Amino acid sequence: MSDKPKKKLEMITVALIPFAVAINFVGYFLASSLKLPMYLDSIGTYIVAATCGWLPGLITGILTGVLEGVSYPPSMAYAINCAACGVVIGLLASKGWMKKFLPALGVGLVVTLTSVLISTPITAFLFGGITETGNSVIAIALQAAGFGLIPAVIVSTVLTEALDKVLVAIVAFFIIKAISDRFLSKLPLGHLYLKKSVVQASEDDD
Amino acid sequence: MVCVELKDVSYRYPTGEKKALKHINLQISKGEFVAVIGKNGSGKTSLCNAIRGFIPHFYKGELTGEIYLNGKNVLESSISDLTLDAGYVFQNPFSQTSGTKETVFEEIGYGLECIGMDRMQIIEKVCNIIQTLQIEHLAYKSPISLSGGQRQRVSLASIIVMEPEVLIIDEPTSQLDPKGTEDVFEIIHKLKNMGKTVILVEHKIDLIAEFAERVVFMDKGKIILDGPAREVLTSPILEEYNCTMPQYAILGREMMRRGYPLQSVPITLQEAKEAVKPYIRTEE
Amino acid sequence: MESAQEIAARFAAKKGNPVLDLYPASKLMFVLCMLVASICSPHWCFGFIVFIVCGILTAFAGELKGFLKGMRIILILFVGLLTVVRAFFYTGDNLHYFLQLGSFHMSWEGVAVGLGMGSIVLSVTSPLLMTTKTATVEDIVIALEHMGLSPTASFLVLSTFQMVPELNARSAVIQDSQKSRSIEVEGNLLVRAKAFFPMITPLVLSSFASTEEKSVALESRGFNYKCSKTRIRVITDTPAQKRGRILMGILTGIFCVVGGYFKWFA
Repeated sequence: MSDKPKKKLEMITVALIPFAVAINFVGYFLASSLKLPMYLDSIGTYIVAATCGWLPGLITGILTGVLEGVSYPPSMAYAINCAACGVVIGLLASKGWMKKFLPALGVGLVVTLTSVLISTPITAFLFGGITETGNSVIAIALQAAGFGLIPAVIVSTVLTEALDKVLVAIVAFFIIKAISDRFLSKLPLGHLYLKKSVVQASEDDD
Repeated sequence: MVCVELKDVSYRYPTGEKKALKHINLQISKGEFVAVIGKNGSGKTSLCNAIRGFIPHFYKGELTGEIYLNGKNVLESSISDLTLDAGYVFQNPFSQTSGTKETVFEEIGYGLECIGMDRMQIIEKVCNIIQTLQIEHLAYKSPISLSGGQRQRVSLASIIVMEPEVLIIDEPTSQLDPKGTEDVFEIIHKLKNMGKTVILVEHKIDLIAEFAERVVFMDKGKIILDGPAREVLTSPILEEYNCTMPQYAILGREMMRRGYPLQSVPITLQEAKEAVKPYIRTEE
Repeated sequence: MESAQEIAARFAAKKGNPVLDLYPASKLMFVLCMLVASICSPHWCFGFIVFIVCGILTAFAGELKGFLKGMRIILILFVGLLTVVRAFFYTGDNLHYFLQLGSFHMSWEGVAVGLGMGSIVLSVTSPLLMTTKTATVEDIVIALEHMGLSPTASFLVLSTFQMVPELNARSAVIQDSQKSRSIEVEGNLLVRAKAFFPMITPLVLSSFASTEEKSVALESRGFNYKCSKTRIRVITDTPAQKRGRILMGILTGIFCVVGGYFKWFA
């Protein structure tokens, strides 16, 4: 983590990022305790990136990767992937993509694409196609069927990431809808999601 | 010396329909212990936010009028600039820890680290405040392991140690149990004895009667009463606004109503004892 | 209560163990050097040597159990499985096969490639795990601050590390209370998936509520006060370690040049 001189982070964003990283972890643990076949470990990144911008999304991604890496170092290599997803979500959200359901799904798809593009070289070249998740099994089976390493990793990553990232986008979309206007008004991109556009002052208020 | 000055301050929150503060005029001098009372939504917290600069710097919204803190124009200073001018203790015990320290000792010293004080000086000051507030037993505990009451005591220590000119304390006991409340008020008692300038927002009117020299009563964003504690807390205007008086004042007024004249309406236990004494017949 | 001097000493105290007391920058330098050296190493045994060295250092610090626990899965996946997979699917000319499974052959060359990749993974993960087991987050952050890390960044790292277990504990409480409100958690996939949303939403919303007050509280304590920050806790670098790091860098550089030559050009 180095200095960020170009863009100043607002205090409320700085206070929010640790929560967002923690929510990423909680999502993952809840998903595994409910035995769901998805990771659901990027909800926090989605929410922060959508409401605060690409830079907070990037930081949340990096911190998530670093923290995961404390107990399982290979995860640190994927921090770049988490960070890139955060950036993509933030950029698309600032164009209003997380305001309505269908574009939010679109965000999920673009993030899936980003994730595949970035994690494939990492998995293939750094780790020889092996991951700690079911990904590897699919990749190995595909290689046994004659696919090359890269295509096998791409296909297995797409299959696992698509479902996960699109679902997280949907969950994040509904959660953002549930945030109060009062709080949204304080966030950098919160104005995109306000339910009342402008509150009119009542007359005779003295 | 005037520490706090508000001149014709009016304010509306961005998502509020009505104004939270209406034409507020207030002056507080160094060393005064001022209590602010009123129903929920009367503007007490908004007043505190305005003095400290959270309004308008954090909460944005529309503000008119002037606010001065220790001579500095609050509207032209940032929240950080005013760090040593006013310390603020919030209602929620759980949202004031920095979340970055392993021990209470370091947690208390966090603010001093932020202002770049010399390390040994920080350690000496934190030692002093821990001993003054008698929280030695908490010094090396993890801040996350503390109860609500303990956290509020640590929050108070963290702010007092920075020696701000003014201490703003906003309903510190509203989320605490009776033991926690007692512990916090012990510290507030010490603050009074130290001669600090304190603005205390509280609902517990009996406790306020024990401490406050001056009371400000607010309703719907306006200051309705502002004067010596005795005058405000026994004023019939409180009843008009459905605000409860201290229980000893209620006792005193009822006694007077029923034909037992008293020299003055008591507001504290001690005063009540003195007032009732003439009417207690002892067995000879 | 102790005197101020005693407390000052307490917050600068060393643990008395040479590995635990190593200045974090030295450990991080080690990680970096091993990463670079392993890429240029001509033989796959490099990774295993690094693994053993890190194991010994961690044992010296009394953290061997945790280290081995963390390395177990890495050894299984990135040495065991990776080697087997590469051995089977490696393609090339003049391969020497030794095992046949169906229509697939295992070649020695494939084994070597697999082990080579595993060696790089081991060379980086062993020092990293050793660092995380023998240094606290706070000390690593302080060392980074000495190298120029901004106060905001150090806050983000430290607060995040404290926040994760805290929120996990809160989520366990919410999980229990949701279960007692008969939100179904057993059953088919759809049932379980539907249980997810009401479990995570309260946590997110309450986090947001805390954030508002937290950010005001932090700012009012001087978070953005313009000055260089000080710290109660101190860690010290030693001239010996500084020289050691420079030496490590030079040796790594020489190793990379020599090893790289043999790996790619000889």
